[in-house]
Amino acid sequence: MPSDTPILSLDNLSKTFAVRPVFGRASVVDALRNVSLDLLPGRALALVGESGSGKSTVGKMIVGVHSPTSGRILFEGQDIAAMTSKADQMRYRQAVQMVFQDPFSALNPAHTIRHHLLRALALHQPETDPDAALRSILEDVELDPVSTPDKFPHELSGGQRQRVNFARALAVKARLIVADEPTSMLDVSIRKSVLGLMQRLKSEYGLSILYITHDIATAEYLAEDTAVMFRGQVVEKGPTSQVVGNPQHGYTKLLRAAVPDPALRLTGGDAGFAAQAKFVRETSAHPVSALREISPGHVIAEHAVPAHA
Amino acid sequence: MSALLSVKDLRIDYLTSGEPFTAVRDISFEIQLNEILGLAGESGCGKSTVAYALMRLHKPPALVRNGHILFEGRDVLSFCDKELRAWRWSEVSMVFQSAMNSLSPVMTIFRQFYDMLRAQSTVTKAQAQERTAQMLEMVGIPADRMHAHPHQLSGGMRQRVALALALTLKPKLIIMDEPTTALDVVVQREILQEVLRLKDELGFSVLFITHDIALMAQISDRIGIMREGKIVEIGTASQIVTAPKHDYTRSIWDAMPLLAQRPEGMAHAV
Repeated sequence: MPSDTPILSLDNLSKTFAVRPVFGRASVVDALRNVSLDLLPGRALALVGESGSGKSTVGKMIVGVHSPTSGRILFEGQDIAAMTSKADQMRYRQAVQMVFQDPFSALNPAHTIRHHLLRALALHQPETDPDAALRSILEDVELDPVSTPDKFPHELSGGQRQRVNFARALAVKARLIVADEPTSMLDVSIRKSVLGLMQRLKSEYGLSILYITHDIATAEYLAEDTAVMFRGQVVEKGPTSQVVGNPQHGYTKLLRAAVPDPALRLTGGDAGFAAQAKFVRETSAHPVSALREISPGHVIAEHAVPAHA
Repeated sequence: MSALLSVKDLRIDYLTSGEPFTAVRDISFEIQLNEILGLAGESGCGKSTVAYALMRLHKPPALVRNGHILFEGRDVLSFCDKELRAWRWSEVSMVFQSAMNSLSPVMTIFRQFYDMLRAQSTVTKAQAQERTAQMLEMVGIPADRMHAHPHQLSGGMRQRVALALALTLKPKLIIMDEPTTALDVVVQREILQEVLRLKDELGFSVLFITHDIALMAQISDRIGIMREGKIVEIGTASQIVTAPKHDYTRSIWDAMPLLAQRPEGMAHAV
């Protein structure tokens, strides 16, 4: 592992939601259980897991939508809960930006693209010439700087709208982007180009990216490091080449095997996959008892009841 | 042997305030008995419009301008309402993209089965319960969940319920419009293997619509690639994977982020 200090560290983060329905009994959901992660500057960390695994909760806690039940979030070594002065909080919120899954609802339909970007520029870079900055930002995200500013969100395709969302993060000079499934609502055919944009933002601007996804193939494409979550716990983390290329935890293996592979024909005769999936889900849901390092930086979780009995 | 379903020169327009927009441009294809035909393409290429028209579910402003849809030689477009009611679900059924929207949120799972069974024949409540239990177990859901409402089930379970509903009257063709797009990959794989197992057991044809061409290649016998309302290429799954002829098919493959290395062991062992 490189020795630089992480731009963002999650230290034993837990989150418990109390569900109090109008009818029926109240219950408690452990959305996150002791999650520890490090994101290094200028790199991308992919957070992979199924729906309900807690990966989006991690993203929302980083941008401050939810506060941790226990544990700490450290930004460049400083606990964000301890940032009490207005100036500190402003700096943090400027440095950390989120890009949401749904490009259709993330932009205000009543305003032009110019409005969306100029507002961010005026708030965070008041000293620059807004028109020149607008042009250069749109060029950075590969949108036409002449025609785009006067368009409304409904006049853009999903991929273009997602580019506007990244442009907005650039306009405030974000250093860390939390991208929550930015490509999953886009067509397969344009997914790769948006991933390419993120790749470029990372290599050219040194942006750090927390890439939240359920698609392990895109994680491999973009991220240097990958962490796999299941039922609120990190079950495997390390360099992507290790985690995706040589998965060691049962759940990661399952996830890996389920990625559609055009060369492999499915048949109705094998109940093996479903049986395997059921077994892995049951064993992986148990609390993590220990983390075992199997090669430098590559860590897998051991469960209270062994995953490989 | 003649095809189960044959579509000839189908053209569908959407009427707009200006010029009509042609969503499907004179497409023709056939589905054989026990065959899985995949229809792939990006959003807006007309693949769902085709699916809706096959079930005669299209509504104004969509309009079939031209062409024929023949199901076992009968002209679907000329069915009267009564014939249509008898034909839907018993001979052709459909699984929609989001099971959250295709199941009624205010009815229990059993009520939705009962409604469908009652519409087709006279059944007692006890008979309907027995059939519902049987169908739910077939797709791997415990029979006692029939009294649950849709919101009490997970997304994957709801999609299984939608599949069970579509299979109950033993149709000859099932149209699946992005049936697993909203699910994660592990659940997706489980459900598709379930479909294939049921197909072996019961025997039916499938029109499978998705934009995930890698997934489609895994289960389809033949694949048609659609673009801007036309089928640009149609061929066997292995031909589309290994030797695509049309530039557009090749560009779809290039745009797919695929895993660099294939998983070892497990995928092939199961």
